[in-house]
Amino acid sequence: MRQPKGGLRRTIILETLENLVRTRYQTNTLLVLALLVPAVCVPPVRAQDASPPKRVLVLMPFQVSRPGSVALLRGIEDGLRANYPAGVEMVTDSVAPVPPEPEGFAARMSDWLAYKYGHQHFDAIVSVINPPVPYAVALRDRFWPEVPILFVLQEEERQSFPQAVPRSTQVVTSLSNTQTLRSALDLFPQTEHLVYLEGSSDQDRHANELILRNIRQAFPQLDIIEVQGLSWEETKDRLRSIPDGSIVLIGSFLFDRNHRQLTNPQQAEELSPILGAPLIADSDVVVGKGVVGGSVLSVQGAGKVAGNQLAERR
Amino acid sequence: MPPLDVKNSYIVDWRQLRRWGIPESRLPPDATVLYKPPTAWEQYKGYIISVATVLALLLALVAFLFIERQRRRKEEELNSAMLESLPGLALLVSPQGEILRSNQIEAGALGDELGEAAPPGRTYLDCLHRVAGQDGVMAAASVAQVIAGDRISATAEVPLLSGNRWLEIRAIQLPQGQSGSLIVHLDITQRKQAELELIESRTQIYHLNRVAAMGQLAAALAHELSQPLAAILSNAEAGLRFANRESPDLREIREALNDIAQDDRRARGVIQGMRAMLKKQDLKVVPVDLNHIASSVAQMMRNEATLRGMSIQVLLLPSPVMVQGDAIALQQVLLNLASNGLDAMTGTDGARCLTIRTSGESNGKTASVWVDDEGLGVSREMADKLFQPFFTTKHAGLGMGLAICQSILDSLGGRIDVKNRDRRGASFSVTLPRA
Repeated sequence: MRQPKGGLRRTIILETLENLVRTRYQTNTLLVLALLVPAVCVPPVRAQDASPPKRVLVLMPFQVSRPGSVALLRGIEDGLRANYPAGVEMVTDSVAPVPPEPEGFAARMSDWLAYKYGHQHFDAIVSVINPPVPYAVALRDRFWPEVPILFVLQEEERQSFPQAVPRSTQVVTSLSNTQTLRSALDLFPQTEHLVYLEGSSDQDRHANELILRNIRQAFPQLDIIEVQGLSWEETKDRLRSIPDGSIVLIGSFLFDRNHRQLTNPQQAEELSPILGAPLIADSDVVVGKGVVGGSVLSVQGAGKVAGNQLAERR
Repeated sequence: MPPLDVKNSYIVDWRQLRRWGIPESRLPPDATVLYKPPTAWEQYKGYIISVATVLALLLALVAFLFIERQRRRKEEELNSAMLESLPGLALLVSPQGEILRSNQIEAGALGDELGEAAPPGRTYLDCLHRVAGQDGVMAAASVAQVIAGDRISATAEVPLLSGNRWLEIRAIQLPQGQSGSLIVHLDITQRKQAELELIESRTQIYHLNRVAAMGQLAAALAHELSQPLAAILSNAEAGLRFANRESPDLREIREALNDIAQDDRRARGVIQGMRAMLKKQDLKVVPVDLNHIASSVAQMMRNEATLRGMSIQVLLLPSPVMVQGDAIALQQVLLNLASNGLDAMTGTDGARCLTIRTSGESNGKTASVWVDDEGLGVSREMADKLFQPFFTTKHAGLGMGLAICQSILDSLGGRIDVKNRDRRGASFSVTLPRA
């Protein structure tokens, strides 16, 4: 017959005490008792109420393998793990089209995301920069209406800035290009020309229009030389002959004219040796690859802020 | 929820700063400079701090040792100066008795004695034995106790084997923290000689005092002697008459001869007493009977008292009163006191009786002999000066009698006191330790 646990303990204690009385080896018995009593009296360790790992869907506007994406995801994971010890399971996906953008890309991407993630459950959705915003909102509203959305690295100046999405939080970054340029001009006060490097995809074009508009407003005295619509090799040739008193700023450059995908670090590493002018960029993932640096966006730091925010929203 | 603003960070590549000639001073204070090769300090900070710490500790240790050495050197110099300034031969001796060092004394004082016999490294007591013999070592037993750490300090006077030379040895343990003792040797030969001369002078004075006292008693002593001599003559003549008879009575002749012998012994006793008083000798402290001394003095003074129309009364304890003293010296004291007593009664009216009496103190440790006169007594002012040398109330006196009495009693460990009697006169007491 199976005895309850408390009864078994009492039996062990009673038998031990009986042995203590019976046997002449009282010293040994006392030692055994000293070892047994704490063992049977200490309550059994209760398994902690293990919370399931937090599942987060991260929608990126470009390839997940890009250095900026990696740094951002690492920051999000660090922030989550530091504040949510139960564990984090991150699912990342890119919603950016590879140029040329096919017809009806947005609707097909939305269907694809619904098909891919509709049967799963997520505790939060992270939308990085502006392009994934409509996809994230649509997914959440359709499948997980109570799940919060975290908009990361949003720029208020963009037209698609999510103004009033319920149950959402924005991790807003300032206009980092403008600040980066200002710090560069402090370091190189003799600068007369800004050579602005641009990619050729639609996403690049939209982003650069916004950036250039802000730069022109902030620094009207600067002569801006746009380098755009070129292949990567043509771009490098063009940059070999820039005028004195120039600085080169890497703008949004995801794809060249030939739809060749290039990361900012790659670009900086190739351009820096051939340039006769300082090279600057707006994020810290490029620092160390040939840019001077200055006031730049810490991508991993922004990711960590996002991760902390996610951990707090249980 | 309100948006979370992410601020830019100021991050620069040090290599690019160098490439474009931008000094770091132009960067904002919160700038992060990456890819800057570490300086030697940054690269080897731990090693540098460790080595610097070790060097600092070593330096501190060296400084401490240097300062300590300087302090010890000054202390050593001070000790040496003090040691050198000490008169006589000074020795530092270890607790084991080994001579550690000595001062440099000039040859001639002790240099040819203990100085040469006590070089560093030798055992002190062996050296002392060499110059002072076993008696000297025994005399310096207290010094040996100081060396062994059993006493704090000691002083001993030790005669040297070379004859007529004396050392005073002063030993003192060194202060706590320094083991060993300091032993200073002073040549006290001159002092000892002065002491001996003083004793000799004192003996001379005592003797002269006795001679003077005997001179004062000359008439009485002459009378004392004349009586037995007259009796001897009378008995001799009677014996001759008895012998010239036809049938001499041998019994009467024998009685006359016995009387002659008895009177002769009596006269010889008087002469022996005079000789003893006139003999110059040192004080010898031995057990003596105060009763006997008081009786003998009373005997010597009785005729003098009779000649002055006075009397002497002797009141003695029934049993001998034994004290530590010198019989001749105590006789001298009592003669002085009795003579003063008779002088004090001169010119006074009424029955004039000098009383010599003995008593024992209640504590059993001392005994006294008293000389009571019936004179005018002693005033308070006079009492303060009475025992001072050259103080006298007599026209012909030197004022040394009572001073000598006090000096004798000081030497014997006794004391002399004076007080006025209830009725009249003064009472002098001589108190001595019991034998």
